[in-house]
Amino acid sequence: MEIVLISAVFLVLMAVGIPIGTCLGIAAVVTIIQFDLGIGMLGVNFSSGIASFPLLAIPFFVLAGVILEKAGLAATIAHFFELLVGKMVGGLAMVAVFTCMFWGALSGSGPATTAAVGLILLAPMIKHGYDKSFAGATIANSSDLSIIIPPSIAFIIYGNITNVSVSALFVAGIIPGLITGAGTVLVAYLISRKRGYKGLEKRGTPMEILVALKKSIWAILTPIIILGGIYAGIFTPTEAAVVAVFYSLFVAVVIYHSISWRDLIRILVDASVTSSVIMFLVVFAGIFTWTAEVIGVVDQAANAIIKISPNAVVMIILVNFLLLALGMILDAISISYLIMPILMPVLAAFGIDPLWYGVIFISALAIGQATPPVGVNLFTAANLIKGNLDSVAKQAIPFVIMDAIILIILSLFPILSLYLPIKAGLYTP
Amino acid sequence: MGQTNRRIRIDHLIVAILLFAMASIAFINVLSRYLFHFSFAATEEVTINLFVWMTMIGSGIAFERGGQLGMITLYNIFPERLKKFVIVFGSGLSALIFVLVDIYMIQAIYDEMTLFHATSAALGIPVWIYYIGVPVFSIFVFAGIYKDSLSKLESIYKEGGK
Repeated sequence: MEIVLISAVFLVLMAVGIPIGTCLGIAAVVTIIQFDLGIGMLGVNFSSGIASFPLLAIPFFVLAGVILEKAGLAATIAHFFELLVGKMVGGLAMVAVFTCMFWGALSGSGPATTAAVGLILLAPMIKHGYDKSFAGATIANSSDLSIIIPPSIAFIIYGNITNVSVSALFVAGIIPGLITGAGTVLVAYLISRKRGYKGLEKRGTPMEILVALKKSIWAILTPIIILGGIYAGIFTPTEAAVVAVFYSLFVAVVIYHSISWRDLIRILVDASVTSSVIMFLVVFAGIFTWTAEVIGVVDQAANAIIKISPNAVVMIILVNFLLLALGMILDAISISYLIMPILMPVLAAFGIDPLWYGVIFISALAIGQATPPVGVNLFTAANLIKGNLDSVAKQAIPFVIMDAIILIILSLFPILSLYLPIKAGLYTP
Repeated sequence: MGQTNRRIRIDHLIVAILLFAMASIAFINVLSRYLFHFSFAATEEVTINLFVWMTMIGSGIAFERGGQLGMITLYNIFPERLKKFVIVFGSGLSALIFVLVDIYMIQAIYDEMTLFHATSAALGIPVWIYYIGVPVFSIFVFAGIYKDSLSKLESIYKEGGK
């Protein structure tokens, strides 16, 4: 009965297109009132759901990303990679993947990366004869890397739900992010070769590359400061995020002279809005999850999953399928809040490492960002090329297959995720 | 958008100041800890409560921009009348959830001021001061929801008129 009530309210409201945060909030409130769970705490719980120091990393990383984007650093980075790999077969596609990978190390959000890199590279790609939808699909899929390569808002949320250290999660994402990036490069290269997408006319001379490197060195230093600080245990992720904010501000104002005070207000507003959209989900998803736990829905669902198969590998594979399916209709944050509380006891029952599982979980959700109909990156890319979502989605299929193969590899070899955080002393399994 | 407004809107200004203040306090904290080995850790509670206020105003602007995440696959194929109903119904629900948050928050503030007189752990500030931002800034949320539903309804009328 309880399950029926809470899930029916949520699903019906969501299906007709009401904001997901509202659906979660209403479903939770209806259940709280129905079972007399203490609606009087709603106001205070709303406030305390947001007021958390680890979650502060979200607005700060978003802000640093917006500053660097408005400072025009995506173009600087893209130019650097253009000189470096532009002459290869499928040169601009390679440049797009590398720029997205790098931007993923500055930004923690997929759609933000799609927009930042898409604005710079889509037009030149189309001009050089790339299929418009293929160009969009390449950038949408490469932007998936943003939530695997640290910093990543998805990891911050995962840490918030499961109490796994966000520092450890960030460091754990490095090697899987690079492997997924390599897979994406390979797919882009093979398709470009098959379709005869040529590289750029000329390669950058060593001198040109050096000049471009010098120009982009400030951007290149950003992920080194963020990740280096976290890896060495100097900063918490929230501290690293706030250092990134002031570092990017310094780079944008003092080095590049590219933003004014008026720009700064617009940047602050945009960053606040983006992080409020996330927090609107986080706070009501938190109350929803709490309600589901109190009325016993979470336990029932967890027990049901444990009963399905006694085998951990089978369980992980089945859950991956579930995540891919959910990723088609929901955003990564809502899925994390809906699924992780149920999976935590399941992971414990099977003795699965929650840090390693975090990487698998987020990688599975990353694929969902590029699958229709709610593939946020696809959606952003289709908007940028003023094209059709379906044709971009079709071009994305080879990338999605590659991502799924890499997901299996990550599921089979925990060491790929666990090696760095253990070596850095951030984690003991 | 077209012409940009020369004057900065009040909600934009407040939200910008809040985020900048949060970042500045947190940054000073980091600097003082590592450079001067002196900790203002107590200011953390100010930062996280400004974060709550910022989220209220930011959510309002997000509603206004139609930026809240939702699944619009089915909605897009709804007939016009059903679309209008969903817009009004959905906006009503979004407003309702914040009305409820407000009611119980005001209740909590009243209890704090008259009964409990609780103060914050680190700075000893009465907790109702932090709480009060929620109902106050929720004005921007309601305004945002209202503007969002108006502009969505308008665009349906325009489509219908074609």
